[in-house]
Amino acid sequence: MNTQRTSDEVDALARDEGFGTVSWTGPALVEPAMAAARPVARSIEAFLASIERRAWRVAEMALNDGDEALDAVQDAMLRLVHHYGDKPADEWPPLFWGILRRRITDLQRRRNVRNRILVWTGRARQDEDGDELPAWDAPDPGPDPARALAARQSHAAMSKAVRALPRRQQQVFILRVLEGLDVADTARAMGCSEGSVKTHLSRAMESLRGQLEAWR
Amino acid sequence: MNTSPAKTNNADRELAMRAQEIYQEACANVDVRTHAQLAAARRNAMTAARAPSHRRVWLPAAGAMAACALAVGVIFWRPASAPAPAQNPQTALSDADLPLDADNRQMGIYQNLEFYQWLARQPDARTPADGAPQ
Repeated sequence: MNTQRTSDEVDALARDEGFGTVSWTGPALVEPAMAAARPVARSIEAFLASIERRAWRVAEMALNDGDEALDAVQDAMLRLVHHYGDKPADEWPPLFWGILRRRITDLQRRRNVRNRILVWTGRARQDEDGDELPAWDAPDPGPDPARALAARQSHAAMSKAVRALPRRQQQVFILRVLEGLDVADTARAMGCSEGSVKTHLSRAMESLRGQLEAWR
Repeated sequence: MNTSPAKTNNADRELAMRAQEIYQEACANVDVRTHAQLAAARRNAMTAARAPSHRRVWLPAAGAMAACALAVGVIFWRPASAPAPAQNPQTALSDADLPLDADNRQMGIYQNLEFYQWLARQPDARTPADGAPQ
């Protein structure tokens, strides 16, 4: 089943959600429908419950390791609750993504150092793409194995393409396009200006544009 | 290769929509084990936030104790190699040398301390210079 929405369908969805007529100028305008699907959580626990799987997928995409992704998400949850639990609910998303982004960056840097040491000592295990092994967990059989396999392959292809981007482009693509944060929240989560967000996103889209076929 | 802005926008829009679909589907299909681990991580975070932090209570107290110990150490520490300051025997014992908690019985000892110090400096009592019986 092809689940890809046409632009007309997304326009209709946006109109139904009360966003009026949408004039498409790029990925930034995909976000209204996404934002409408994510109401502001009433409690921080509900917020974490709503975001935990997406956070893990983002961390896994960036780190290419499920266990490290889980550590990063757990740490981000702890820090958000401990330091920002009393903040207004609409501030939680950029704060949480900012914490997770920094944690992921820390883990990536640590891994780079470890890899350099392992390469230097001749003990590194890498595949032909330079990624650490293993890159993929055993699949969880679902109701439609063929479709599930296709979805996993698409996700793996997209993850690999996103990981190949420079770090800032990676982050902006994940936050703006996948998570649907607006420019201001993305800039806040990334600790940069809104202009930098737009520049990084433009470059990321330029790099990824030719890879759409591989994701179908 | 030149591409029109409209074509680029269209390609970007398709790319973004497809990426979102893949992402949402992947999020919806997180395996059961990971889902359980994430729920446990969330509960741990909430529990840690609700629990009274003993560290918050003990850290300031421990810090104050450490500061006091440091101050006492700085005040009373004398380097072993440093020469002892020359003391005038007449002024060796003053009120400041008396401990603050000295009681009445101990006061006698402390008041006669000058005598004991003098006695300690004298040659052995059995030597003839001391005038002891031969």
